[in-house]
Amino acid sequence: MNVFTVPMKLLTAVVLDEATEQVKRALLKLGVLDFIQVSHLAPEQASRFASAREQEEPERYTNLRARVETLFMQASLVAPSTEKLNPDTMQQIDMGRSKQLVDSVANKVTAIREQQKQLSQNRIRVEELLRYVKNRQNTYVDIRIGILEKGSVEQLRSRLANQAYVLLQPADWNDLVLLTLKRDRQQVAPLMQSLNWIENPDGMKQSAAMLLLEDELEKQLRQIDATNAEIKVKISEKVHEERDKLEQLWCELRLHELMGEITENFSHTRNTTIFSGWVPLASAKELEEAIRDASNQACVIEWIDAREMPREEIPVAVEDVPLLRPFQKLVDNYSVPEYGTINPTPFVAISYLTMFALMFADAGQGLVLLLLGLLGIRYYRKNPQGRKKLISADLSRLLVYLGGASILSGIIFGSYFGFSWLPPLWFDYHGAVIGHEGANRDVYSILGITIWFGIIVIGTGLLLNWTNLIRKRDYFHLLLDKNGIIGGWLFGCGVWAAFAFVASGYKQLPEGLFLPLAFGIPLLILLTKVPLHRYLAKKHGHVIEEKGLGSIMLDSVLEWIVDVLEIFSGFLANTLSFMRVAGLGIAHVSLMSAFAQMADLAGGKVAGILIIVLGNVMVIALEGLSAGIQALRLNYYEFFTKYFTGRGLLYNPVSLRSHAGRQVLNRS
Amino acid sequence: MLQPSQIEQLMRCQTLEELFYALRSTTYEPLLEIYNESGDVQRLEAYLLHRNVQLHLDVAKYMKDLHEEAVLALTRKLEVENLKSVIRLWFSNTVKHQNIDYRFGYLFQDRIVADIDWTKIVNAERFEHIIDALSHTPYAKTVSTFTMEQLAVEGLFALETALDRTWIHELRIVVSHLPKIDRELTEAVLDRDADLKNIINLVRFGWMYQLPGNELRMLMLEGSDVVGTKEFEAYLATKPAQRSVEKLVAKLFPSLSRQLRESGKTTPEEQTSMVEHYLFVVRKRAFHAMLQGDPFTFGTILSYFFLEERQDAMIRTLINGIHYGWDSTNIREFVL
Repeated sequence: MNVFTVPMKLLTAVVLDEATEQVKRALLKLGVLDFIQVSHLAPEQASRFASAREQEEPERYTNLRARVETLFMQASLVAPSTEKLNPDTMQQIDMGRSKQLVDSVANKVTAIREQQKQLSQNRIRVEELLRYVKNRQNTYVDIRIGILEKGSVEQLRSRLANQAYVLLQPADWNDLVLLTLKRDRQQVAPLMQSLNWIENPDGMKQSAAMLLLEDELEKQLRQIDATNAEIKVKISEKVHEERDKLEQLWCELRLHELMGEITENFSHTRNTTIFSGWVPLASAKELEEAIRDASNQACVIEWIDAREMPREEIPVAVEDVPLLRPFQKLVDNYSVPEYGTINPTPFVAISYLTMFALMFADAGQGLVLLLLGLLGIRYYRKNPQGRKKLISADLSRLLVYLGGASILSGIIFGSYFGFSWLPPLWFDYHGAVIGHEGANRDVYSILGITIWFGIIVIGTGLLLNWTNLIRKRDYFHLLLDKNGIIGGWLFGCGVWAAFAFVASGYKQLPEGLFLPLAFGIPLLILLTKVPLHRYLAKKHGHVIEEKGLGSIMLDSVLEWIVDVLEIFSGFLANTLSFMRVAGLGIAHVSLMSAFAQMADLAGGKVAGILIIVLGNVMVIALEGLSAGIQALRLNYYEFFTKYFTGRGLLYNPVSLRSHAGRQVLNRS
Repeated sequence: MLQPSQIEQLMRCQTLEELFYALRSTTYEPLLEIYNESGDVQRLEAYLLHRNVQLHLDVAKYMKDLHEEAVLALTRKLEVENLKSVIRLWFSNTVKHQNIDYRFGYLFQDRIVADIDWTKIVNAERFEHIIDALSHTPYAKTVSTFTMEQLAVEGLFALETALDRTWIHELRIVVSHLPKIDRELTEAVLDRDADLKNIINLVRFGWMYQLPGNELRMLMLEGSDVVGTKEFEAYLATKPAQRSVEKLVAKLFPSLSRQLRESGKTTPEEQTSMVEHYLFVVRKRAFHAMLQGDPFTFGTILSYFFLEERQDAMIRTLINGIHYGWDSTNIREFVL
């Protein structure tokens, strides 16, 4: 596995106009070229190039594709897989007919929606009546119990059609029961009179009628829901009827969109087409062959090595390692590494998991996280376009790792749902926190472990930074930056002095000349930073502001003060920050112990088990979240700041594969 | 907030489904589910109101003491609008004897700021029951000056404008207690709003509906500079058909006066629309200035509400425009 970003090469190709279409298809099929405008490479020649001759208008295709996707969504269909996109079988799109197809399906759906709207209005009527009946708000409703002397029940129903009402004929009753809103009395009363409604004077029937009405209204609500579900099925069916055509259209539209994107990056002379772009070194040969084949060898191809181009202009791709994808997301959320530097993903995977495991060391609770993650993965596999839940697909995958790490650390520290059911492999974390660990470990030992862990993480960050600076040939910052060799040396000496001070019982620092010299010499060297920077800048021909000796000395001292403060306070704060790992681990144990004591106080049995179960649920939810966030924070602020500048440019080739902004190279 | 590219994409949508699909992953995402469940455009509008109320109440929760009161006083604007809608339904049903059917279901029925029993209002047999339902709210005094008989003859116009004035009055009282910087800033916004809203009312009711001077005076919102001017008195004294908006605003808003003169638009509808647009531009400029200034003032909250309100209005326009088949140019004109 390559721990650095993928090496890139810059391609510039000239092909004859007649081969342009074939070349476009070949480029799209391969999908590895991140285009740049040729005029950018040769600005002095820009005026000689003409841009795209036939305007493909990719927007037209994008809009229609969005409409097709909307139809898919209404039928809970997933857009066709990118595997179905084949540039070789691509055909011209008759936009008029395609629009007609989409319009016709959309219109059918809209017509069905009208029924749904009426159902929605009916729901409002039923809900309002049910609310009044349930809350016995009789002041807002009229309940009539009686018979019709003239006309039929159907007549009554048809005349009440525009009102909120319920009309019942209970099985054992001779009377009808009619529920209407009191506010509709002005409209209801005359029509009741016209049908000669005779009210039953038996007031006892009112409360029985109320219960019947409540049941009826609830039944009506269920019916509305069922009808609505049927309507949604009908909508889905309408889209399914044209599914094949729509899928085919979607594929064609997507292909035309991508071809349009490629066309936009083509420049032309009278008879030739010129294009340029970045490609991963590993794909360069394949790309060259594809262009040569597509153009029948009638092409000129020139390669430029990435080293000849400014680093900040080279797009960055990283190798896709499926196992590390959840951690790649964590890195992507932060930023893009600079070209040629270390890809932080594998290091983040190790540090993130270790931090989480130290804060959430429980094999039982880890197993719950693992199962949650597996369930999440299963759910998203079954519903690839399903609504996002609280736990997303990415988080599900991450939970599997975090669960695994917690299981491992739980076994190491002998913790299972807060109990020591099996002996620990290393030491009893619970015992150390509570104060009865066999090997005389206590909370200070845990704090010490996490500080050592912090030193290792920061030290690794510095080593990665030095590697990056060597690769960038930035020897000035390698030596004099706060995260360079001088900063690292001072950090190392600081660690050594601090541990010696602790070992002396917090009484004295190491004696002798070594410590003053170890701190003094680097600090003196640091004073040369400003003049040296000016000298090097001048040597490399950069324009620098002219300054007198006094001014340069003043700058040097000011910069030195800032650097010294940053080195000493920064490294100290960074290291102590890792104590939060111990803090959360201790809090985790304390909470579980508290729940265990509460369970004992409750007398064990069912109540005790319930307390333990609820306690575990609470700890998994709150501590799990907290540990996840703190581990992320430590990575972002204590680890990344040492070596990850995040100044990279995204590698974004025109490709058939869907990608979200950042394209990672697949090893296969 | 929606980005310009997203807004452009929304304006290209031809069906509501496309609109909601384009609004995925924005704060308007629930619209898609509501529409899929109901196919009912009015439910979408109800949701937008609900969202706006919730947004105001959420901001209020983050405030303390005087600032919380000020946000709640601003929120009362939504309460007054809802109250007016509920009273309109009651009026249609009880006074005009029209069937209001399911329409109450689309209105907001939970508590906004005051504890108002909306159900009691819409079901009231007499206007006195509405007065009773509002007895413990800031609107009690205002509504109690009206009677059912008066409303049956004169309609709801006077009551509705009185409720608007009550809201402004209550808001101004709360704002007057804010710390100096917040008070001055908010009062400046309210004064400018009052001026321009008064001008709109003077055009709409004084010219379009030809209301007499004394009735026009009653409509005026407090805190407006226009009301104290000679031009205002002259406007009221002039016969409705001869009233000139251009002259009315010449002194206080010379740029508006110039725009009216140069536009060549002479009908009351056109001039009202111009003044409304001017009000919108002035407010937008003021709120953008606030956002660029000190972020730790009440201005940030006012701007936030303004921007959210504008965005909601845009979404509402898009929903209605697409649903009722407006021309895409018209939709664009309204949205932008």
